[in-house]
Amino acid sequence: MCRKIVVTSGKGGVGKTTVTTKLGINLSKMGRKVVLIDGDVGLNNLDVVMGVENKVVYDMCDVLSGKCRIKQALIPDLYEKSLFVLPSAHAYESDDISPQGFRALVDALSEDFDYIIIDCPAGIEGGFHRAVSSATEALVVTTPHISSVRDADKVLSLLSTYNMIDIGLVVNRLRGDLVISGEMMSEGDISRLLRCKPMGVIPEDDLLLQSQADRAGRNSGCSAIAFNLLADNIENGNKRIYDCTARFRGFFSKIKLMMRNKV
Amino acid sequence: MRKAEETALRLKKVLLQDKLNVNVEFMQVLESDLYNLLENYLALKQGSLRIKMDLTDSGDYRIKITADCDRVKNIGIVKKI
Ligand SMILES: Nc1ncnc2c1ncn2[C@@H]1O[C@H](COP(=O)(O)OP(=O)(O)OP(=O)(O)O)[C@@H](O)[C@H]1O
Ligand SMILES: [Mg+2]
Repeated sequence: MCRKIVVTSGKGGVGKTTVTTKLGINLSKMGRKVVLIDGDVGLNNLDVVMGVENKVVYDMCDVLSGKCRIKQALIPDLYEKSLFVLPSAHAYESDDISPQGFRALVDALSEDFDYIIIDCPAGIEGGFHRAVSSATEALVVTTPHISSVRDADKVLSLLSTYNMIDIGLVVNRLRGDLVISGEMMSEGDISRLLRCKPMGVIPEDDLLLQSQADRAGRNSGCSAIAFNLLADNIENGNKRIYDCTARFRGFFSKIKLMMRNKV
Repeated sequence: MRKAEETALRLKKVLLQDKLNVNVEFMQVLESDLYNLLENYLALKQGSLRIKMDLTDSGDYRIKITADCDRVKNIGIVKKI
């Protein structure tokens, strides 16, 4: 059965598109058929982050208006053969795509894919509803900063009205050194405050920027293991969380087991 | 106190405050529904029903309902089956 996961956050710029793409890449490496959908109509950049912006011929508006078939609009990834991107429409206003139309697209794709991952726009306006209402699972991305956690809290209470099968938290840009010195909240602090189980923890990683410019060298940074664990948790239901503090404590193991019922 | 703890505490207060901003309409509907329910058993004093919503430290809602009433209705008809 196809899993439909929306990646959302409330606050902008916290890493939704990054999480969407890395999750897609890792899941397709595990052999799953994955399509990434840009829910950010009008301010789309999923195609750019994936490096396929020059290959866009049709977008979701063309599919909905009958100009092309849905398979013609899917852009194959440059590296993974079971990974595709459905670009959104930058030429159009966001309102041109209704939640019903968006949902029809997702449902049509669900027959051919194992995963549909929807990159949700920031904020809680119409675009949020459109993206969220077509998914059955949600990942809420937050950084350890107060304003981001606060917005995540609002998004979580909104999500509770949507009948999701599962909601998980992704704490992004965590700095192990600052957590150890007590200057930054840990993923445990954040997950307790939000009363939501952590599905993944991603460390701050300067190489992420570089991997956006050059996707070929994309697996080098310290976040690579973290994204891998996130994908593994989602695919296999494991509960292994990347330990950002490990390399600052000199431990060999970067993985710590986290029991969900501790949250 | 370490900075992270301070931040967590501050954030907790902010999140609780956010949650307490339940919209007015919701409270009015809840109040009138409760009034009608209680009226079946109690002769409430008009306008005496009050609902107070708070949050506990762990983030649960704590709801206090107070009302004044002149008398208890129909208490004699409660039968054991
Ligand atoms: N763990 C990380 N370490 C370092 N940089 C990161 C990390 N995660 C994201 N970034 C950087 O932060 C920036 C914003 O990320 P991204 O575009 O994924 O956010 P977004 O939530 O999709 O933003 P928007 O709300 O605008 O769509 C990017 O430049 C990205 O490279
Ligand atoms: Mg984005």
